[in-house]
Amino acid sequence: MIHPALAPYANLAVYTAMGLFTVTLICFALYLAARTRPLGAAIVAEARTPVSVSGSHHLAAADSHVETPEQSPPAAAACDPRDSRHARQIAAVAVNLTYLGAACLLAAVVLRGITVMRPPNGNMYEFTIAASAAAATVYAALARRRHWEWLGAFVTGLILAALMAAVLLFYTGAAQLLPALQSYWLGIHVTIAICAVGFFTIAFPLSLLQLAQRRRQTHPTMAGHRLLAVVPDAETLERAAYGMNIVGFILWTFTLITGAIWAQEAWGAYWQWDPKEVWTFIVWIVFAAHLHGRATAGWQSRRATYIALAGYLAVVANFTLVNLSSTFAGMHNYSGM
Amino acid sequence: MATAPARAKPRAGDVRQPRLGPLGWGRWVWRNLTSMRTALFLLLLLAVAAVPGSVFPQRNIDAGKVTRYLAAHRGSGPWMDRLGFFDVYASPWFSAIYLLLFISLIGCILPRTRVHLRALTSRPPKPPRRLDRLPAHTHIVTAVSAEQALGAARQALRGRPGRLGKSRGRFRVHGHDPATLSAESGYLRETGNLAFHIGLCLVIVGVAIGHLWSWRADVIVPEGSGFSTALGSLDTFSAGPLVNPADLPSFNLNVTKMNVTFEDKVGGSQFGKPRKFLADTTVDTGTGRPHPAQIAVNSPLRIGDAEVFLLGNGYAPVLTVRDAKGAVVYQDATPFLPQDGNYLSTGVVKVTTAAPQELGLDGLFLPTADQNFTRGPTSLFPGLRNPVLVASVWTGNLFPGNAPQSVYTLDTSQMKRLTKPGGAPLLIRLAPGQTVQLPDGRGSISFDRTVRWAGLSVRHTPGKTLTLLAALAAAAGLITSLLVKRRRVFIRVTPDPSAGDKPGAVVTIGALAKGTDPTLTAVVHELADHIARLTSQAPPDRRPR
Ligand code: HEM
Repeated sequence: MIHPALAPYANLAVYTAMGLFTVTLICFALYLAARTRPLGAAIVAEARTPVSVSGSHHLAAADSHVETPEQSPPAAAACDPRDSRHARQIAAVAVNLTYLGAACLLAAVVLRGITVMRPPNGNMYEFTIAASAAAATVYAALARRRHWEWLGAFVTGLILAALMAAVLLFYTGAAQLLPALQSYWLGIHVTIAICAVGFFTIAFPLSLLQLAQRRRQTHPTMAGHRLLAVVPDAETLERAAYGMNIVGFILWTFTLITGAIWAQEAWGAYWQWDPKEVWTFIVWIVFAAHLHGRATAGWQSRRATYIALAGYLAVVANFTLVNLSSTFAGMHNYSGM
Repeated sequence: MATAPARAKPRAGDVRQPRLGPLGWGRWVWRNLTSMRTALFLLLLLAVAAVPGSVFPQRNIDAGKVTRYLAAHRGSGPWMDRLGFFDVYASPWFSAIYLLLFISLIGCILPRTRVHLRALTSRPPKPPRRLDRLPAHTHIVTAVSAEQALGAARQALRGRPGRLGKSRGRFRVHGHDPATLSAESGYLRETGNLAFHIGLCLVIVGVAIGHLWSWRADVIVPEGSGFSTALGSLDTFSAGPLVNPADLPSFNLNVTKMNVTFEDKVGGSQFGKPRKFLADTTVDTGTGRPHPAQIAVNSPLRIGDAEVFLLGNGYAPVLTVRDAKGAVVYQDATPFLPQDGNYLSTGVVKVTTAAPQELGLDGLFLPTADQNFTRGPTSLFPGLRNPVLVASVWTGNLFPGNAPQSVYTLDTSQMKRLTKPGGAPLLIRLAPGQTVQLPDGRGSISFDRTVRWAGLSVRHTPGKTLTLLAALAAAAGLITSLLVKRRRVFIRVTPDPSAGDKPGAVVTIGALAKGTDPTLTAVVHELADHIARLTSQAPPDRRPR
């Protein structure tokens, strides 16, 4: 450890981020509440103000009927113009708080890295903080551009839960690494994995919302569900999740490849079915199956979505069960937990 | 195949499936095996089948753990063993799944490659009759003649992709008739997808090559000694079926010093964690002039085709055994194997030249022993702070029946344990520099000092470069296939009926994409804007913003 004096500041940044995300979560929840209220007015406004193409893709088909711009989409879409002024103000506050929270988490990661003078991904605590920072950054980068304010409550909720787990369950003091981890591949391999988890984490609530929305669209009794009425329709959610999942999947492919290169350097074998390798492989195979299912003619996208959700659960299992449970003890049990 | 008689009304019970000959069956199986649904099913099956290998102990990772599991589960254990649950990744069922997937993969790549090569050299298809049925479409009205409008459309299609169309690549344009244009772009999508699937095949080929031609040898080398790759001096040697042991590179390697440090400053769970493993060695590749080399975890030593990895370390107490007259009958550093994070280590010493009978020690080595042994023999820290050797002493026949046995276990079936005068079993306890006299004139045992040993593995894994390159090619193909959009755009120009005598043409644009393409509509609008500009009009107000 080169700069132990910085360790408290790294922790302080994490606590600050937790505080910020708590407020952010409240703001996003208030935003959803504000959106549910003037729904009637919003739909009227919608008919007059067609939605921009980039804002919600499900409108693409309808929107291109140039002859009939008034055709209104089936469900409320995610788009600022229809929100009340009040709702838009709350959303703006929430998004700005998200920027701050993400910056705080990135600062925590950097400070921790300087404290220990190595990539800060050597144990479960560091991994969780870094993955939360990745998810927060991905969401912060897209929230405004894609009008994903309605997603904020779900994403910040997940991040907050992860940070609590990190602080309460995984906390590990700043320390050097085991020899097996002392490699620049730690920085490369684990950072890529962390980014992949960031994208998968955004896709996860999108997929859940999509399933709920699909139910609402097919079950008339759910048509009046107020929360679901203010998120985009299932098609749009599906495409949004797909966009996140393909980036996650590409990054996961590189996680697998760099992990194999590192294993070859450290253990002399690029693949030996160690539990961590097995689960990284399972995650990859499940997301490959998800993309396959999506591209298979005649396969319902609902089933493909279930596969994607299973993939995310495998990501979580890979991180928690495989690291912590002695059942899975393999060569990766070095987390210092 | 029998042809069914042509009958207007087949009677009930007469309806028969056309009978399939062996060829027909073969084709049916092949078609199903290479369908995308089967591939999907096999992918999911592979994921599920991989799970037990991470839950149950595996021989390839820790054979000892499997033995312990079998001892603890006497009922279910043997059955699970028979079903391959302790060798999942070599079991017939796991192999069957990935072999089927591999065959399915090849069976799907071949026809797709043929189709794609044909598409690459052919023209875009004719436009459908109704362009407004396509997923994205629009039309604009221009004040130029139909030919001029068509020329503008062709120019727009051929022009550089705009901001939104960046990922589309250039359109290939063809006019099947004078009033329409067909254009297609994004052939790279399928090229990338094929590269991905072919890359996966090659990864499997690389793994297979490694399986057939790789070899590995493991040795435990105490400081001050070495090994030579001549097979006799390697502890274990395992090789793929096609390896010729004569082709092994020949070299001698000596370990001069094993550098090890453990965490002793930070408390909590990190205390005692290893921080540095580094072996100082000298290597002689037959030149007679040894040169120094370092081997660390994460930094193997390359010697010709082979790589030497540092995979473990531990302690080797140096013991001297003397007979009753004081003559040295044994003097060596004997590696003990660490059993826990604090290097509580077990090992045995076999003294075949002892008199009057062979002598065996079954011992524990504690690098930092608990002074009072309050909780039995335990080690409190992995570093050498208070080394203690504890052992029971056996005499008799070390190698009953001359059967081969491990150097780390003592077969006591034909041995007797030495006892103290009172009859209680003798347990010797030594610190470095101490000597203990054995009863009944059997001589003495001295614990001289402790050296460390390096666990080295010499390995050769051919095919790993192929595997890596194939994996990278597959990844590049994957990125291409997921980011490039394959699009078809059709344009039809018709005279504008409302233009009267003036020139006027309606340009209708329709497009479809393969897979998910959120920007398809935007691309159509971009083209429309471009055509409108080329026909020298302000962009029409066709889309409220
Ligand atoms: C080793 C196992 C396999 C893996 C990991 C795998 C993975 C993938 C992935 C990730 C995609 C991209 C999906 C997308 O474009 O969204 C894909 C596409 C595709 N795969 Fe596979 N695949 C495998 C085996 C197969 C097999 C055996 C077949 C043949 C039956 C096949 C046929 C296809 C086809 C036709 C596509 C293109 C889908 C499209 O873009 O419309 N794959 N595959």
